Amino acid sequence: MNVLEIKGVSAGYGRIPVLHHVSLVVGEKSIAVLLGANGAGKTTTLRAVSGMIKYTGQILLDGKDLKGRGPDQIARLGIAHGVQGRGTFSDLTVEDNLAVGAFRRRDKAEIAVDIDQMYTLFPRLRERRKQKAGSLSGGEQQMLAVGRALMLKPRVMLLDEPSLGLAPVIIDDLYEALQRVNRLQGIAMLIVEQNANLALEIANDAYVLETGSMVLSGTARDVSENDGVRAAYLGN
Amino acid sequence: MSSIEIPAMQSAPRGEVVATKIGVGFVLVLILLGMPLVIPEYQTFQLTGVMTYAVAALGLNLITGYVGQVSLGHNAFFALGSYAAVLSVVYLGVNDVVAVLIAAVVTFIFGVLAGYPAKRLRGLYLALITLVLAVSVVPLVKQFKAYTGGAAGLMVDKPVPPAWFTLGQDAWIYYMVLAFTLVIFWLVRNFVGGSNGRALAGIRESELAASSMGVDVNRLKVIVFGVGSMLAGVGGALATFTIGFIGPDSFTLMLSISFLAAIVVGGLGTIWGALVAGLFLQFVPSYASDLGQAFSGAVYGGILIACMTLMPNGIVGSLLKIASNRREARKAADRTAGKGAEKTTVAEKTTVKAAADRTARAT
Amino acid sequence: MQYFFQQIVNGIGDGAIYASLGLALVLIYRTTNIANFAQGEMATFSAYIAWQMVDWGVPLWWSFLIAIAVSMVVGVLAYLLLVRSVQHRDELTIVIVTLGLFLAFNSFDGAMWGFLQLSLPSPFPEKSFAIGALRFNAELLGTIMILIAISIGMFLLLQHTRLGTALRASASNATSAMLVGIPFTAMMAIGWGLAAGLGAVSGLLVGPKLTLDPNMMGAIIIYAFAAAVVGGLTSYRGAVVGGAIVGISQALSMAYLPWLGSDLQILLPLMLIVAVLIIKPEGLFGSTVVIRV
Ligand SMILES: Nc1ncnc2c1ncn2[C@@H]1O[C@H](COP(=O)(O)OP(=O)(O)O)[C@@H](O)[C@H]1O
Ligand SMILES: [Mg+2]
Repeated sequence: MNVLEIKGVSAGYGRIPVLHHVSLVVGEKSIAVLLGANGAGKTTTLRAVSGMIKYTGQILLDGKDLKGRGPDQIARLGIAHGVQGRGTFSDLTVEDNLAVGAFRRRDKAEIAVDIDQMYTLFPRLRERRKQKAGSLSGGEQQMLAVGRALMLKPRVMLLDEPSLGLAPVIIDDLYEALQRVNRLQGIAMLIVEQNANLALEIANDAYVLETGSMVLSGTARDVSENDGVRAAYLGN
Repeated sequence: MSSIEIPAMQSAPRGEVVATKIGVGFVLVLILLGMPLVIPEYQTFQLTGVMTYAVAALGLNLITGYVGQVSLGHNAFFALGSYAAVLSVVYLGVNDVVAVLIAAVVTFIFGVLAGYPAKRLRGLYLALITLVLAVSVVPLVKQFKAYTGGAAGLMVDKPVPPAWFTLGQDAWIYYMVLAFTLVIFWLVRNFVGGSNGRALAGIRESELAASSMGVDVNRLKVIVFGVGSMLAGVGGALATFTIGFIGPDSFTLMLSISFLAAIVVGGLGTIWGALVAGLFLQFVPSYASDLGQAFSGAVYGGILIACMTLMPNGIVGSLLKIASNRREARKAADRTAGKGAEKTTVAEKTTVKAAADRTARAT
Repeated sequence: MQYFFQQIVNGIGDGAIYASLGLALVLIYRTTNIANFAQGEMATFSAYIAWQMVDWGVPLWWSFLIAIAVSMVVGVLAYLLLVRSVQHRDELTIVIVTLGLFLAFNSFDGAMWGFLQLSLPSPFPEKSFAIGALRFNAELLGTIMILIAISIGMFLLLQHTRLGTALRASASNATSAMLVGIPFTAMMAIGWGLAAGLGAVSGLLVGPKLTLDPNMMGAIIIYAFAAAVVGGLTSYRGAVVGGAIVGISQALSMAYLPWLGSDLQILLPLMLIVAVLIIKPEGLFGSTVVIRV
């Protein structure tokens, strides 16, 4: 059973087409990585999934058609979207950011437990819990963004270039955390990256987007052994 | 399509357009000159009012329509010009035309002074600061009762025609105002027509982009604020000489809002929109107030909201848009028809369709 | 000296009214990024609703509660029917539309209830107390207590409820708010509703003090803007402090600068607006207030 299915999706901005018949699936409890050069349409794909732009084709969450729903409805159905760059609420505290991430949930007691779990996952955030998100470093904000997305208890989590602009050590930490969450909680993930090494290591499946078209897909191992991919995204 | 063809195709109609424009302008001036000879005195008086308001509205259109700065203080400059002109007649004994020129200088200076903080401020803050100007007028006029006549106001001597002029006082004032109006519209048209116009449009779209184009954004903003305020002052001075009375009740915040409503209706950022605004300001209030005090507010409020939500380009702006869409659509149609063999791109087709849609909707 | 303190006390009373309207302005500005020039006229409308209820024989406090409830509904409708469609347009458009709203409410009041002055009864008894040498009348104390209650209520709502956090999140980052499932339009509408409720309170406090006519809030909205601008339009605390500053300075200038005359009194808050905007447009309370209510 696939959690998320994108079937023949075309989308764009105004009259400018960006995606051409893009198809992709994310399996239950699995991680898929979407690779592609700058401007390939990765962000646009995620935007279509979370209802931020119009598209033709089909996008299904647990078999349910998402077409015509707004971003807030789609989020309430269980898709968490960590946007590219700083998507945090900069003038809310770290703790409020996490709390707001659980907006769709009503299980008050459990929310508190989960917030604590996020602090265990990202200890830096615990130290800064009363601080405004805007005052955090880039790495901390990225962790907060991931933590906030997790607070939604999503069926699938979309992450747009989570490693962008972070120091290598921090990227390692982040990916380790992502992998742990995936193993322990079984949250499916669709991770967009340009810098593919780490993502391919933790992913089950991989897709490669080029100028809006899916040019390659397969298991993460197969894709990482593809010569073109090695040259373009793995730096060797 | 060869690259030579395009300019050739466009230049012919453009020449025609210029010729037509000059012709229309000439006929319009002739009609305006002849008006007092054929219409009754009261209507001459009303037309004079239209022109005085149009001049002031043109000033606000420069500030708001062309540069995109929100000003609620136009009433203050309208009042300042009026009092400057009246007081210089009373205390300096100058003639009316000189008085109007003094009003222009005074309001330009104050406009530049007010424009200095304005240049730093974003839209909303500017709205607030000019709101301060707007509501200061009445208390100040009341305070300086000795000069202004306080709340009761003052009677003003209307300009008196010389002996050789036999068409009467209203016609004389009409010609005086017409002269100012024509000169001002001509000057402003040239100002916004050339490179300044492009710079102004640049500021309205994106200040950053404009300054990277080498436009001194701040300086231009201050100048435009000064010039726009000056036009308010000139319009105010002329209006006061036309009416023969000056009093604070005509200079409330409501006047500014009316000006704003009028240029929104006429068309932000269009010269002719100011003329429509003049007509609007002269005729709508009196018809609306015939229907009751509450109604005139409702008319203005309704117009502001309806125009901004449904017709953001105003009357003149919408007409211009329709015309340019027509032209575009026709050009695109020519292009596609001319080369049936060639593939038309999707983008082109949608442009034509969208243009046609817009035209259909607007008409 | 006692006279001086008495003026300060009186000034705080007026300041509390400006602050409550100022809070409404801040609330709307923070949630929808719009300075609502119609806020004062909406408050006048609220006072008329209360007057109408009283006229129909509804008990006074009930009339006031109904007026507040009706105002909140009207605030929500104003957002949904009008403001929403222009919210993402340029500031010029927004300013013009709220001015249109200003006129619409003003003339609606005039059409419904006329331009003659009506009188709205005061909810406070005509008693006064002396504390030391200072005199406090019930109205003054009541007004201040209402402002305190409002402030605490807003603090609790915004800081300690799920709705409040969602409101703040929507104001902080609309896109991210939607992506965690917060319905954006609903939040904006609730923001307008709450602000209309706050504004209604100020209208109900002003109504009995002055006489009720469509232009009742004409000067008050300027004072409220002055109060709100002190906090850069974004700080609730700034609006309360600003209200106090305006109220007190007004009372003092009336007491000690009689030559200013009643006409020029309004210039004082106006100067305050200009000074703050020119020197520190982000407000004296900046955007780094620790508690951002
Ligand atoms: N908001 C937008 N409006 C218009 N065009 C956009 C917008 N966002 C992205 N694009 C265009 O869409 C294409 C794909 O962009 P994007 O999906 O952001 O690529 P990626 O995330 O793979 O770098 C690019 O050509 C980009 O210029
Ligand atoms: Mg991207």
